[in-house]
Amino acid sequence: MAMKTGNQYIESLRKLKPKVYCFGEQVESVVDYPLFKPHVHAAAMTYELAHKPEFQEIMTATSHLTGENINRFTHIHQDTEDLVKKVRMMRLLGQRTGTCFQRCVGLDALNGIYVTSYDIDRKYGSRYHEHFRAFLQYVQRNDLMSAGAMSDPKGDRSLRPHEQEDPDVYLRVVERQSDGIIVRGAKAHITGSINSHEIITMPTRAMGSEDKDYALSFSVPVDTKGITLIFGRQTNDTRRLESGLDAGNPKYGIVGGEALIIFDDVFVPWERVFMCGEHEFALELVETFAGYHRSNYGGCKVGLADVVIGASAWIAESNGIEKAYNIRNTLTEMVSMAETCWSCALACSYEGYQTPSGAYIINPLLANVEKLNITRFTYEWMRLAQDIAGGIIITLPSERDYEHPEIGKFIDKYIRGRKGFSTRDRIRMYRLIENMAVGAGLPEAMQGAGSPTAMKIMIGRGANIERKKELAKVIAGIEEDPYFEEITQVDAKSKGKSEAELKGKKKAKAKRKK
Amino acid sequence: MRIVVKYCGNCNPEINSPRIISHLMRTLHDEIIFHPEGKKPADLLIIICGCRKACVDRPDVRAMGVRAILIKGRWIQELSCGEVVLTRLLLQKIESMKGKIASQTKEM
Ligand SMILES: Cc1cc2nc3c(=O)[nH]c(=O)nc-3n(C[C@H](O)[C@H](O)[C@H](O)COP(=O)(O)OP(=O)(O)OC[C@H]3O[C@@H](n4cnc5c(N)ncnc54)[C@H](O)[C@@H]3O)c2cc1C
Ligand code: SF4
Repeated sequence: MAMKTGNQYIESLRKLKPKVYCFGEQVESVVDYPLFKPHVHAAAMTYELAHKPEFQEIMTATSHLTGENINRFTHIHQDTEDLVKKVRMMRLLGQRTGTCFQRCVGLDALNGIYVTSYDIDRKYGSRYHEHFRAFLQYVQRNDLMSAGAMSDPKGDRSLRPHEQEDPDVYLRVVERQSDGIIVRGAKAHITGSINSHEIITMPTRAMGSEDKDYALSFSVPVDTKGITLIFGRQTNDTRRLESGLDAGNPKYGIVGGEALIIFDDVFVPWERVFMCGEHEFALELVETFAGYHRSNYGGCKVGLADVVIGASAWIAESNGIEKAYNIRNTLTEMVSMAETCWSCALACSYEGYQTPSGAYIINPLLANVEKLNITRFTYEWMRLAQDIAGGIIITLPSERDYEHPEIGKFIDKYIRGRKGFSTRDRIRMYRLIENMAVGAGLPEAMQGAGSPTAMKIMIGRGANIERKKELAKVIAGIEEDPYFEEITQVDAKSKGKSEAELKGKKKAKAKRKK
Repeated sequence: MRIVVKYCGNCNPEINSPRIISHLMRTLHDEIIFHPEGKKPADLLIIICGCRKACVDRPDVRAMGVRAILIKGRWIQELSCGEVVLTRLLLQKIESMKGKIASQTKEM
């Protein structure tokens, strides 16, 4: 089957019947429910842009399994150029949607499981990787969107999965049958899950031997029996139910549309199980997936920064202050931070390497540094956007007042800025900044792909402090510096010291060493 | 046996490659070369890269040896370990290759 267009993706969702709840009601049709529509549109852009010649070079790839042209969101990275194209694709989509387009979590899950299932099979002679490749081919052929479900609810964070009072707060296998397994538990905050075709699960942390029932990875269609999705609230979400001006980004929404997914004794056939009990590989999968996922943020969030920087510059212009030093300086600061994050995204991709499975993975140290920067810089550039925009982003009267026959004219008169800028456009832009700089996008940048602590752990692990100590000892003169000694030897020669003198010096040094 | 060693350039290595190779030079009695002359490939090529990026693992470098052992940071031939174990494994691999080459030569 050919790659889906945006519209075909939306139509394909109509064929699914997931059990989704929102505001205490079961939702009949995900694609027609007004609160969900923007999220569906944002995800649809990942399909639609793959058909546009101007974006094809980064939005599509050649499947290493079939040789067919596929959407890059279903591709296994075959070299570092693929990793680079992936982050370019993230920035592009961030710019075009101004929000989270959701599909990358599934892409990272596909790549993470590809790498780890191969390693499990190498150790145990199991058939997870073979099953996974068959599943991957199915995903590529049908151009499916998969949600990547890693985060468990976790209960008491100080306890391991098997120590929890309620054993279900981490997703687990409760029964092994000849044809498959039964799973129970939940996954929390799962992006794009209501409008995905498949849900791919992965463990959320390192597991010990007592946790082996929690060392679990599988994929199931979103409307599998026993699965319930409960949609999460977002800042100002009900504004979408109004006519649009106040929503900020009415076409694509805010963050990704996250849901709590309940697995109430769900059957998973063995062909769709990619890890079941191999607890020592749980950490590898967590780190591989998280590495890929963290590398995205310097792409997608920088794409969002591009939009918010543009909005801030436009507002400054409509206020007549675009040439003022403080405004230009602030915009430059915003650009500098965004491009720093972008540099990290490119760097961790260019510094990627091949894994035993053949798939390429990013440089984990640089990817974690990138995401740690995002947890800080996003707040900073959004703070600066608030600075440029002024207090009006949170005091602006509503659209209903603006449209009111009696008082609307006052809003039009007093919210007006420089000549040539309509009040309506100014309201649109203020609302966009409010949506992006005050709303749910901030904690998303902080917690999405893991809390800052998770990044610091990985950075600490890759930092190689021991080597840095060795370097310092050489420079401080505590340890020998062989290269320096070579230079000074030449120096001595040129000062007329005889060969015999130099040899004597060498001997004395060897003696000292002994 | 003629062994060629190719370093990656060591911009920011996870391992101390020169230390590993020095240990090799002290332990083995083979000819170890860093700058091979001519096009004749060595019996064994050791490509020793400071990290998993392995930027020097290229076809033109591979052509420098009949057979190769690749070290990518703490990985030796796709096995992850610390520097001490890595050095031991490297020596074991060289010895086993020597054995194979010797038996092949006998057969010939
Ligand atoms: C918008 C959004 C989208 C997301 N999308 C996805 C998705 O698609 N798929 C997915 O799998 N996940 C997703 N996540 C989840 C995300 O990965 C988690 O939010 C993140 O890992 C943090 O976990 P938590 O929210 O449960 O916070 P908690 O685990 O409660 O952490 C809160 C704080 O406690 C600290 N903490 C936690 N445990 C310990 C401990 N044992 N010791 C010391 N400190 C501790 C943390 O470091 C953090 O500072 C998403 C999150 C958001 C906000
Ligand atoms: S926030 Fe996460 S899921 Fe959304 S676009 Fe960025 S990386 Fe992808």
